[in-house]
Amino acid sequence: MTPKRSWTVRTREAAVGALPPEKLLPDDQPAYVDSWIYVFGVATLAGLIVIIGSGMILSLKGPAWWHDTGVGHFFNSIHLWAVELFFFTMVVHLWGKYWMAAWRGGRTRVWVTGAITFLIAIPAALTGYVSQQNFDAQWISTQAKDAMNAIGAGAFFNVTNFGQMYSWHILLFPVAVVALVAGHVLLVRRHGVVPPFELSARTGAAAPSAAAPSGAPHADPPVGGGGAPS
Amino acid sequence: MSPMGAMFDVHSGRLTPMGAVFNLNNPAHVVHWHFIQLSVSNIVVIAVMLVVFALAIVIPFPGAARRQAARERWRGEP
Amino acid sequence: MTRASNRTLPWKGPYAPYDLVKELFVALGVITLLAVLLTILFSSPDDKPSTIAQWSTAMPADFVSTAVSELDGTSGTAEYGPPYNHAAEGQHAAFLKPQGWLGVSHPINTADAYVFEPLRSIPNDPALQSAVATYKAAPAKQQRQWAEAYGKALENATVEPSGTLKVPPGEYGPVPVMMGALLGLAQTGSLEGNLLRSNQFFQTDYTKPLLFMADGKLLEERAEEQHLLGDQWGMMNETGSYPGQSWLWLYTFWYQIEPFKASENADILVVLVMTVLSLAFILVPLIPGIRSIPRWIPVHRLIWREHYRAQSP
Repeated sequence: MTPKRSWTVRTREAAVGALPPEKLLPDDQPAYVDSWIYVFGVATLAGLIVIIGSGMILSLKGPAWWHDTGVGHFFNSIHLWAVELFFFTMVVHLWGKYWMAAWRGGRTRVWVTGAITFLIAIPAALTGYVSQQNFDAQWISTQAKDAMNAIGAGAFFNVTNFGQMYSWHILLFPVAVVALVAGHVLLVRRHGVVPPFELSARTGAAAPSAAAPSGAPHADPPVGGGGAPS
Repeated sequence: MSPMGAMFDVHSGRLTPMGAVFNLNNPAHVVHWHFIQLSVSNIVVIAVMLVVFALAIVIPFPGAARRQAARERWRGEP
Repeated sequence: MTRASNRTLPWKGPYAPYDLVKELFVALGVITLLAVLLTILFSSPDDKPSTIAQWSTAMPADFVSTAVSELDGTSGTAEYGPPYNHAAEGQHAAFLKPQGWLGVSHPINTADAYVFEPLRSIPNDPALQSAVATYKAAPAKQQRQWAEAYGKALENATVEPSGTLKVPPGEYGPVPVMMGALLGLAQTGSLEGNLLRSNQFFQTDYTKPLLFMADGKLLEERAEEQHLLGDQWGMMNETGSYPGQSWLWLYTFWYQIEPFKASENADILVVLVMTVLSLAFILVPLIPGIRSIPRWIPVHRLIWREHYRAQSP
C-alpha cells in the first residue's frame, strides 16, 4: 500500500470500487424483477429527459417565444404534459416502492434521495408556473408569495420577480433534480433492486427481515443453495 | 362586450389554442363533496394513476420463460 | 436497527438477462409519444395576462379605489408588513416569527410607488401639481379624511362615456384630481412601464405592478372563474379544464379546515405541518409502524407472485 495517493487515483479507485462497470451497467437482473411496477422508475427518468429536452428548446428562443408562435406553443405543451407524466410516473413508482418496502437491506438512502427528489420537483415546477408570463403566472405568484413571506423565504426568494424565478427554473432546480436523480439511480445500481420479502415457511406471511439480501449484481457467479429458501 | 374588442375578454383572457383537437380552455367542471372540491380533470388523472398502479401489479411481465430458465439453471448448478 | 441488519448482501439467487439501456430507450420513446399525443389532443393553456390598462378601463372604480387605498395606506400591500414594509409584524407560529426576523427586504412605500411617482411623470399639468402639493402639505388626519371619504364615494361611482369616474359630491380635497390623472395614465397603458421603472435600464422584476393588481379585484375575479381561489382548492388547478397540480392536494387540504382556515397565520402553520410531514416522508424507513405496513398488508404477494410461486415445492 503506497502511503501517498493522488486525489485522482483515490477518486478513481473509490468510484470504480463502488461501481465497477458490470455493476454500473449489468446485463442481467435478479429473476424477481418480474413486474410492470418496475418500469415506473425508468419511466420517470424518461419523463425528466423529455422535460429537460423540451425545456432546452423553449429556452433557445427565450421566455416569450411560446406566446408568439405555433411551434413555440407546441413545445410548451410538450413541456407541460411531460411534467404531468413525470409526476404521474413518479408517484406510481413511489407507491410501488413503498409497498415493496424498498428501503430494506441497506437501501435507506435510495428511499431518502427519491423522497427528496419528489419534494424538490415541486418548487421546481412552481418556478416554472410563475415564469409563464401569462395570467396563471400572475395569479400563482401573487398567491404563493404569502406562503414564502410567512416563513421568511420571501426575503430572498421572490416569486413575483420573473428574472429570479426564471433563473431558478431553468438552471438551479434542474441541476438539483438531476443531481438527486443521479445519486438515486447510482445507489440503486450499487445496492441492487430490493429482493422480495422472505415468506415464513409455516404461515406464508412476510417474515421480519434480518440482514435482507440485496439484488446487487453478483461479483461472483451465483452459488446454488444460497439465497431464497424453498 | 369588452372594450378591448371581440377577440379577447378581459375577464377570461381566453383564446382557442392553435391546433388542439379538443379545446380545454373552458371553465373546469368541479366535483363538490362535503368540503372537498376537485376538478374533473384532476379526478381523472388521480383515477388513472390508481388504475395504472393496479394494472402494473396485476398484468404479467414479459420474460417469464427467460426467468424460469434462469431459475432452473441456478437450481441445476452444483 | 443495527448496522448488520441494514447491510446490503449480494443476491445469491438466479439472474435473468435484462437490457437496461434498451429499457431506457423504450421508456423514452413511450413517454415522448405520450407527450406528443397529449399535445396534439389538448395543447396547453395560455390565458393572457391582465394589464393595468385593461383593469383601469374595464373596472375604473375598482382601480381608483385600490389606488386610494395605496395612497392612504389601507391596501393589502400597504398593511402587509415584511418584506414590503413595517406596517405589520407578519405571521407567526408560537415564538417563530421568520417573516419579521427576515425584515423589510423589498421596501415598497405604496403612496410613493403607486401614486406620487407615477403622477410625477405627467408633465405640464399645473392643476395636478398643485393638487399633489396641496395633499402633501395637509396634515395626516386631513389626508386620511379626504381619502376615506373618496373611497366611500367610489362605491356609488358611475363611469362616464370617456372612461372617467363620476362620484356624488363631497369633501375629497385634491384626491379626485390626483386620481383622475392616475386613471388617465393607467388607461393609456403608461402605468405598467412606470411601475416597472427602477434605477436600472433593464427590468425583470414585476413585484410592484403585480402587488398593485393583486390589491384590486380583477385578478381575483378571473381566478374565481377559473376555480383558482384558495377555498376552491385552487392550488391544485390549472386554468380552463386542464389537469393541474394534483400533487399539491395535501398542501391545499390544510387551508380548507380549522384551525388553519380562519387563522391569520394560516400560511406559516400549514408550511410547518407540511415540513413535519415531508420529513416523515423522507424518513419512512426509520419510522416504526409506517415502515412495517407493507409487511402487514401484503401487496408484495401480488407484485412478486411469480417469484413466490417458483419457490414453492
